[in-house]
Amino acid sequence: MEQLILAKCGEIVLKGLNRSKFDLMLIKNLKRSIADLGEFDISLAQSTVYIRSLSGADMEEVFARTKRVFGFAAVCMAYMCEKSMESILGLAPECLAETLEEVNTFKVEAKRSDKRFPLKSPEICREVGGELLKSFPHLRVDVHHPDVTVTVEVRDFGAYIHAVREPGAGGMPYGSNGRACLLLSGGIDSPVAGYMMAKRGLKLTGIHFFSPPYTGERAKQKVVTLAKELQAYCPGMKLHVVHFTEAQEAIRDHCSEEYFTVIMRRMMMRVAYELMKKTRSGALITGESLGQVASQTMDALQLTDSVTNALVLRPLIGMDKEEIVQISRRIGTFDTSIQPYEDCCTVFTPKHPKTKPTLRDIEREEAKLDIEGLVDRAVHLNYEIIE
Amino acid sequence: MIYLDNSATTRPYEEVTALIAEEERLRFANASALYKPALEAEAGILAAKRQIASVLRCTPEEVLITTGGTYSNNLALFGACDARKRMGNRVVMSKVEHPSVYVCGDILMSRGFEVVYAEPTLASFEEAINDKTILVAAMLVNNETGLRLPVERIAGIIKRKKAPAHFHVDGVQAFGKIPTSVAALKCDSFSISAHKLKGPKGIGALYLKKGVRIKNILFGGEQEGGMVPGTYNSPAAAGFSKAIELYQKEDPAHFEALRRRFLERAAGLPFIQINSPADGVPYILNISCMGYLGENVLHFLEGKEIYVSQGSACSSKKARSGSVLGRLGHDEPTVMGALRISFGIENTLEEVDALMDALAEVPAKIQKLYKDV
Repeated sequence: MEQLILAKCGEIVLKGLNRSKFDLMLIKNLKRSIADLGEFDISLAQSTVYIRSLSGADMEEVFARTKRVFGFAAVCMAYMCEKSMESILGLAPECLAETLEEVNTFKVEAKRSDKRFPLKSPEICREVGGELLKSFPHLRVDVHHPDVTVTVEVRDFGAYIHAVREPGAGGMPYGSNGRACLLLSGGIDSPVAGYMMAKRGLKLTGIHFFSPPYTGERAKQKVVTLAKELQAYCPGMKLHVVHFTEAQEAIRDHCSEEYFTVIMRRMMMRVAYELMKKTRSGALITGESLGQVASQTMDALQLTDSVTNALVLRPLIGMDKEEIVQISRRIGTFDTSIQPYEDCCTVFTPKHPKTKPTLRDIEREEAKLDIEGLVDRAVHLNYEIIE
Repeated sequence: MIYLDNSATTRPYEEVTALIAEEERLRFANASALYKPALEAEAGILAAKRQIASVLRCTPEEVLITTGGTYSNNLALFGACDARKRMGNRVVMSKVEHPSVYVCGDILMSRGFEVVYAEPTLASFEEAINDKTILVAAMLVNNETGLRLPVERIAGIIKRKKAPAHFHVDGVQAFGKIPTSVAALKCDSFSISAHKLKGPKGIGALYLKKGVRIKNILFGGEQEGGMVPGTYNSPAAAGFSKAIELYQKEDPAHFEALRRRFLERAAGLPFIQINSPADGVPYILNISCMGYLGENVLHFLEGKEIYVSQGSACSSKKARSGSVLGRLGHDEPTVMGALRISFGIENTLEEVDALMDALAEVPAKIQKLYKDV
């Protein structure tokens, strides 16, 4: 009984003449994400990627990882046999036992892309359904609302049987749209923002602002953990840690308290812009959502944007906290995000921040700072990259 | 000394006791604190979680470090019932569970839950589980007989019966010795203990599937999400981690060899009856010295510095109703004459021979309790 995984390509099937570029990238990403699990035979035909283990890999784990590779619409755990009714009927009860024991009703669907196969699709369905009813007396057929749909596909190289079909990660192959830097704070929003842009094919580099002694080792560890969790979707993502204490202290010492947050955000954008250029990325990604806090009002965002020429992507801008939390739970970063450690954004927060700051006020306050020097030292001193 | 009571506990590896001493000396800080030495102490706990996760095939975040198998079982059972008490009232467990599960069943019954003790067969579980069942508990390997329960297929029954049940597996006697994948078992929780595989006593773990909610049974600090309040025993956790690492390098085929030698030689001693099933685990052998009182044989062997246990170490005080053999319906001479021989990885074939030589002397040295058996 040979087990294999069928991963159905998503959006990239709509691509035109450059389709092969996306296909190659998708397969490269898939290979990379399962490389440590053993040797595989991976092939692409009819918009489906076939994954077969050559070294007895744990297929459940391969399945779980494939589900996290951007670019697939659906992933099926399938079993392959010869293209004959005899082998299909022999294999079906055996390979589906685990799934069918858990359910009460089922139906069978057949796809016959090899039209030379002697039985037509409805005939295949009837035969397989009858065989399964015989083997599992507790089952009933329900063609409208079955607990499980068993699919039999008769394709060019063999017949495939599967009942477990789960949605893939969707989106575009990771890296197919270029690179960007993600500002990763340690809260709930920024990992979700990163995930969403990675899903659209951006390769990410994380940037974290670290403010010892105001934020501790555990706060940094938390962000490293978040980056690791994102790596499940963003293979090889690196985290750049910037020491930000000097800049924050300078703002506290010289600027008027009500502008602290916006000035700090502008400093972060300046530093991030330098790192964006350094890592040859094309955009900055932030987890801002309109109006969520004082630094995320329209006026404040306008001011944070105007400080650099970077394209700033804010995938969460129109989302409610609850929607963000839902995604965060689904991708597995929520539990880490809610660990209760101070992060850089909560250091020196003013009691009453300005929600409608003006450029004139901000520029007046910023004139009191050695901006160039602060940015330069943040980018060079104590700077570390965590892989 | 010939120690053949390894299902009760094992002698820790030298490396484990050395590591624990070193951790106590150098990394004694409270692992929950914010400063750097705390992170160093916490490393031992994280290492244990990673080791356990790699054996159970789960994520380290799904592993709670506890004070041992009994705490893990109590937390899973009471915690799950408390969290699900509005969804139903029935609890199903096998009748051969370890006291740390079985007795919890009795307590749950006294608190108003309907507790069904099933035979250790799939058909019996199938019959017992209904759509009001909120907890199903089954052990992977029975501690007294080595019987393997058909745990792999219980999750399917729960799902098919649409039971809102938490599925708990007591894996204390299985972990590290036979394959234990929580992904394959599809269980919600799985308990393990360090000292069964040459780790320190007083530490164990509970796998708790991500997203499965249970309530805590002890109250205090926030350790392990509040589920295991109290300062972390980080040195023991580091020792636990080391023990798993070393135990995985051992060859489990050695148990088969010990068992084979025992069975070969037992065939020549007609008063010895083998109670363990042929397809049970090789490292636990339950036998009865027919006609004799097991306790007498135990002390006779003790005189020769050979240590075995009577049935289960936990239930030796209670005779028939209290023992697994009794609950499985064995007759009185079988129950009263029962001994459990449980092999450790360091036992040798010579030690098995010494045991058999000693057992061969039993008819000449000990008075029978049942003359006609």
